[in-house]
Amino acid sequence: MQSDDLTWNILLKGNCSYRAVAKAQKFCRNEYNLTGLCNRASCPLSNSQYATIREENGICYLYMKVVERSHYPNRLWEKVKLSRNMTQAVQQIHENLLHWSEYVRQKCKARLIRIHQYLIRMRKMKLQARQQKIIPIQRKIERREVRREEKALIAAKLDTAIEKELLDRLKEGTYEGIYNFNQKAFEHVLDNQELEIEHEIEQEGDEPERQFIEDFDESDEDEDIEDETGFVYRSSDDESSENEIEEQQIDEDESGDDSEGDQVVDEEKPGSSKQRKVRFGKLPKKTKPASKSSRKRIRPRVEIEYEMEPQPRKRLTH
Amino acid sequence: MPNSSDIEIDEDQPPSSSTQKMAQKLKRKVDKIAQVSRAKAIKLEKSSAKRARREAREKIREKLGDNAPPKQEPRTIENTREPDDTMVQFDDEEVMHDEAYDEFASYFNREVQPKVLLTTSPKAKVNTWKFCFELKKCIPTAELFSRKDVPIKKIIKQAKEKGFTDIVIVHEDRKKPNGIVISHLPEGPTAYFKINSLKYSKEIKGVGESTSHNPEVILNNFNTRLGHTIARMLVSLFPQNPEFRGRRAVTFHNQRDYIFFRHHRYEFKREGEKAALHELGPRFTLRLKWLQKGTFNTREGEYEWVLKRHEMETSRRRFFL
Repeated sequence: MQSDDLTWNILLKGNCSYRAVAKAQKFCRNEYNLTGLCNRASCPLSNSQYATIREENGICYLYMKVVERSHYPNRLWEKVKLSRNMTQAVQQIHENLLHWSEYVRQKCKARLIRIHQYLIRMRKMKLQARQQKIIPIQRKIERREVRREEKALIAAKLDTAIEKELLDRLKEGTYEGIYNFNQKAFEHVLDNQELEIEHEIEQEGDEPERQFIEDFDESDEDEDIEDETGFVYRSSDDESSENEIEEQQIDEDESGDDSEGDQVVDEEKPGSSKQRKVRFGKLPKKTKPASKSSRKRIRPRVEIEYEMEPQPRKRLTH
Repeated sequence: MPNSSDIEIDEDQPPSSSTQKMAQKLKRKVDKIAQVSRAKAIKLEKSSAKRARREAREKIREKLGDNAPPKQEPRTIENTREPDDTMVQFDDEEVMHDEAYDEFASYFNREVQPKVLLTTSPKAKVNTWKFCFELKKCIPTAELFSRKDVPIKKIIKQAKEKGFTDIVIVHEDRKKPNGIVISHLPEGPTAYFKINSLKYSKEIKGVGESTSHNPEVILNNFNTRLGHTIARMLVSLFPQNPEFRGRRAVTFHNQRDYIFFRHHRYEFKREGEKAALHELGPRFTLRLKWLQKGTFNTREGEYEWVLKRHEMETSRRRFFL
């Protein structure tokens, strides 16, 4: 009324510091703005007669601005406290803005309703806070995590790692008696392992005897194993020749015992069975079923294998 | 190789715009072809130079044998990881002693069989239920219940009475599963993992059908004390006696703090020299958010480890598991 059109023209074409432009729309960041949009009818600067609803600490106030006070910036906005009851508050708005423009009246009432709705929601959330806390998603961090996960996946080389692990378990003998593989392949590996373990045993003679303390039920088995490990390295010559003989026996036996699937050794030498054992064979005198014995014997190692990385390079400081 | 000089604009004729334009277009095309072939030639040169250098190095290594300079290892994030005090050495007695008496000792001593209670967050949607069904197929001793707004502490109490050893709660957000709470029951630790990527069995190409044999568990790369605890927690969901004839393997592979879950059926080929894997079951990635001592009690519980983003994620070479 006093220079509203002029002000609006200037603000529209020039720069309004309260204006925030988004892709499709212009918003007004002025705290007294009724709708939040940058419009001719919603701009608090270019309307001399204007009203808003604002909420402080849960209490809603009606702010009004008229032309007569436009030269007293100190007293420009008239603040009316609205009742907590929404219907009564709407009545109050109606009374206070009786002959004002429809637009402002409608928008004030709508804004009041919206404010009440979000206050209710806040109260509900506070009560229900026991069960769920709402945390904002930080997009930058989410994106970073996704990227790092992809790179970690590539670095992991999962299939090769799993296959390597399974093959290691196979070579260690965890799957004893289940697979009938070519003896040569195994022997080759076993020889390598023997050499390695021989080397170890030379350094620490005491080790094998300490490992089998836990098992009390099947002391027989454990003794056998102990003997086996002990025996293998004391007279390797005998072992190798016996190995060959037993191999032949195994080949013969296999054809007959395929249904069992076990590699049964020593069917023809029960007397000396204690001493002549191949690593992956089982003594027939053992009454317990094969899988259980293997399970018990290797109990600490069946389920868990910690893959140790080589010691990470410590940072050198000079 | 066609050169741009092969194309000339005929200057005798008056330059009409259309012929000029066509000539320019043609020139550009030819230039482009020339550029592409030059780039290929350069690339070829580089790769052959690299190969030549590699062969030269190998020859030197063969010649010198043991005295050869050591092979250059590429620098990886795992190589340059920040040294962590809590890395567990292979035969660390203190760790072994701790693990003999911690909450999982009863599992590892075979005193109790695992019995897992599987449930969701309240009012779960279809995707979460799908995921729960898959988990149920994967974990042999799991029982699935619907949540119906029962608070977690009540669930824990009831589960303890019924003799469950573990609780797994699949948490949902925006109609998709986004987290797992695993709680070991008799006073065990509770861990919350965030599910980063999830692929159901049906979405995996060439997926196989799972069987009900007890699976073998493979845990890779859990090196620190924290990693050990998590690994033991994950293992204690599965029964202690794997049925090797079933040839089922469940893998939890830790790489840079991301735990990858895979579920395979394996077969040894070529006389035990190669293993072939056939993928079954879901495929997802977990990331540990916090680990708390005692059963689920987020407000008063004692936290053993919490991922604090701004403090802990500052270094790219620092991992906790």
